[in-house]
Amino acid sequence: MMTADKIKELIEGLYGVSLVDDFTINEAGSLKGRIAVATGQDSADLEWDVEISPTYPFKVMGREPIYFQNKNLLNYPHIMQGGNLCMHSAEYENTERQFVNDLEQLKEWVEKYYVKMEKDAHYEHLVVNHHLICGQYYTFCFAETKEDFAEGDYGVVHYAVLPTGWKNDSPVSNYMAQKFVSCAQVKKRELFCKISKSYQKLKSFDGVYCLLNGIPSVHNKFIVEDYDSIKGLFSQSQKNYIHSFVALHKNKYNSFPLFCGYRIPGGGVYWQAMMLFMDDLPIEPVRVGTGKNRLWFTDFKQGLIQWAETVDISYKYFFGRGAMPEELANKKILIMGVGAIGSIVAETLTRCGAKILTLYDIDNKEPGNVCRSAYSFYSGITEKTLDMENLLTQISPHVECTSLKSIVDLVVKTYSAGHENKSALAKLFDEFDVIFDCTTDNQLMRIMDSTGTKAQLVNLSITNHAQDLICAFSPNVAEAVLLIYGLLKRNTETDMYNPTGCWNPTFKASYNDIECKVQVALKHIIRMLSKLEPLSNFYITEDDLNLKINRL
Amino acid sequence: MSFDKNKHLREVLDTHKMCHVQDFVNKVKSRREEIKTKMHDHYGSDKYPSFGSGSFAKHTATNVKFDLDLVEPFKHNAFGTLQEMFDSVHDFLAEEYKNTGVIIRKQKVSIGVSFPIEKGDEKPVEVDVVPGRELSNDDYLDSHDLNLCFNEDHWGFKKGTSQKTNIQKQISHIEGKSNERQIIRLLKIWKKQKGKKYKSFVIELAVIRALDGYDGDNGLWPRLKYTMEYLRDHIAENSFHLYDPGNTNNDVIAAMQDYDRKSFKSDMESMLNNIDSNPDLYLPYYFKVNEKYSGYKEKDTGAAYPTSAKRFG
Repeated sequence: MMTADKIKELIEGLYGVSLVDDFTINEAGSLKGRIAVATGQDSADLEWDVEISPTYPFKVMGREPIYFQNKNLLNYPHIMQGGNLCMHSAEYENTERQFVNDLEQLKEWVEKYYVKMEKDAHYEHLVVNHHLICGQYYTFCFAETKEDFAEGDYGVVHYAVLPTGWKNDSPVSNYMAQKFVSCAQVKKRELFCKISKSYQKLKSFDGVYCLLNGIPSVHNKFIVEDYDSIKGLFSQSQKNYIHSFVALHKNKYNSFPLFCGYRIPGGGVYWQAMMLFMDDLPIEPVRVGTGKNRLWFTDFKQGLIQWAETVDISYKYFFGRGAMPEELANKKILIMGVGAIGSIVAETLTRCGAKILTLYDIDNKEPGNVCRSAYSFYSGITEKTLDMENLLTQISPHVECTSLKSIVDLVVKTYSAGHENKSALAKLFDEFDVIFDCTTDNQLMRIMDSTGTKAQLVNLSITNHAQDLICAFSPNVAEAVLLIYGLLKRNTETDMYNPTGCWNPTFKASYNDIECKVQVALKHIIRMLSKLEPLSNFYITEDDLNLKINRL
Repeated sequence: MSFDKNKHLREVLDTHKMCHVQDFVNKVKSRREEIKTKMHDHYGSDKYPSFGSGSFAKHTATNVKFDLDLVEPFKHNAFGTLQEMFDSVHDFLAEEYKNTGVIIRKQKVSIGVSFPIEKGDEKPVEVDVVPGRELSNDDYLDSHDLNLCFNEDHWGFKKGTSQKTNIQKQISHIEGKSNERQIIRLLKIWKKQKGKKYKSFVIELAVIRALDGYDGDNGLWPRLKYTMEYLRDHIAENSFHLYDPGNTNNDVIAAMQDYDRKSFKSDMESMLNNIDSNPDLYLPYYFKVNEKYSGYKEKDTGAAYPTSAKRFG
């Protein structure tokens, strides 16, 4: 535990740091004092108020246990609104070492950002504090638009309602911007957010958007907090438009969001949204002149802005933390058979950034499927493809997911029964770049082989208990599958799960058994299809400790 | 009794011999002669006598994939540019075969002539006509060097550019190398069966290089294995080069994508490992007998695919 004496002793032993005011304990149990950090031979030391929480060195509820504060440094990087240095120090078990390290990190900041005046190369969004607004939080997601905005643009933003969330014991109203309809010119212009059709089709509500003529920031880091500070960034046309929107919608909505956009490095537009309430509007008519020369226009009143939270969910941010190579993500992918393997493949590809997925299955999802697939119980008995479409759409706003009718099976097999040459069927499959065949339908596998489709076929199946996973690529899928199953010689028919209907036992394997192998397989398939790894048929076997990939 | 690898590979070669498709080869030859005559009659003294090339001329053809190309060496002053030469041959053949059902199309360095498929044949007769122009006036008779026209992006060359080559030298490079040709044919059979996209020309040159000075066991398997090991160890190395015998400035390996070279290496590695671990299973998988011409083997009655009770998803 830290004490004032211990702090004094540690600071005395540290070069470049000195004690200005001794540390004392305040009513909350925190130690507060003042220190100075040397800034160079001829320069004055930089003083900091320091507060050390009673939990030090433990970080509690995401809050750092030590604060260094200097309100004169707000223009410098990583200094937050209260003048606190935002730091994420390395963790030490020993309290004293932790304190010394925290002071070393403070010294580093002083040297880098104060003495050398360095700036970070990367861009960081403005800091916006999200407070409760009328007892709830508001969150608006938006994505980049297909076309760019004109400078000074304004108009109607259409947004959809997403399910209500909950945080800090209060509800979170979640919304998603769908499109912006520009009213700046006589002819209206629609700018659609790059999100899937499923989200575009949701019922829309209206708000106002204005592309500001500057960034609504303080110290180029924090969002402005009052209307006086932002009103100069609106054009008069924009302010007048807000008034006309209010006049038109005051009986329709109790509140609406005002999206305030500004350019960020790279040329894109970032949106902040303030909530405006019809019964307490921050705008007012302002009169200029008298008599015949009298003019009315709209301006903001004084007051604090109620900022909602906004999140840029454009593809590059949504998948910014990790995705498959975009070249593969852009391909048209068909997943045939969305059972245990197929559903995990579909979900994984979606989470990896796939943009165009088509599903195919002839079966319904039942409660018994849930334990080893990506499905949930809640949606009840329904066609697998429909359930999977819903699931994938919920996961990613960037996947266009559709399904083929199950009658495709009848069409393909009827044609195949009557024709020796199956190449005409290739047209059906050629519209896809990659086809995952997870059906385990041997007849379909042979038909697909013989169509000679240009699409890259990827056939996936497992043995009972998910002991092995087999992956074969076109051409000659059936030949490779036959070879591998012949090689593995798994005698599995004795331990099957029976209560699935007459003559229809199924395999036994848990979600974990299947998923771990599918993920390993997909890791390599994604690399192979992206030309990052030689493409070859393979099968995964398992011993007591490891999964082993065997390439053909 | 252990699996006889040499015997199996012999059977692979035997069942892929051209003699099994002699009637069809004769049809192709006859069509090639027809084109040859038309070209001679039309271009007369603007060109030198045409000659055959492709895998058939190099004796590396198999009955599942073979080319009977026709090289047309033009005199230097016959055309202003190579593109004019290329377009002229295309336009002439297109006019000559107009309304006959014959398809004429521009390819990378040749003009493809595809005749309508005949009853009983599995595929149409196809002949590639390769126009080339001597490097300078009267140079061809001595050097046999030709400039080919690249009609589209190919080996890093853009449309309308050219590449010097010498098809006679390419053919004589492989002449008399029957041991190498057997291995080339085996790898080309593997390439065809497994849908690999590697260039046959690379395989030809690589095999000849691998077996240069080889004095080991002369059985098919030892030679194939030695070649595959050589390719595994060298094909992806930066220092590995293979030069076109028709133009020693043309490194065909340098024109291969890194990914293709690594894939080639990986293929060789997997094949060697798997054949070593289980030759009975893997050698016939990688190098399949052409069942159609396998006289003493039971005909395919439908593979015993695993039943649905074994394969799950």
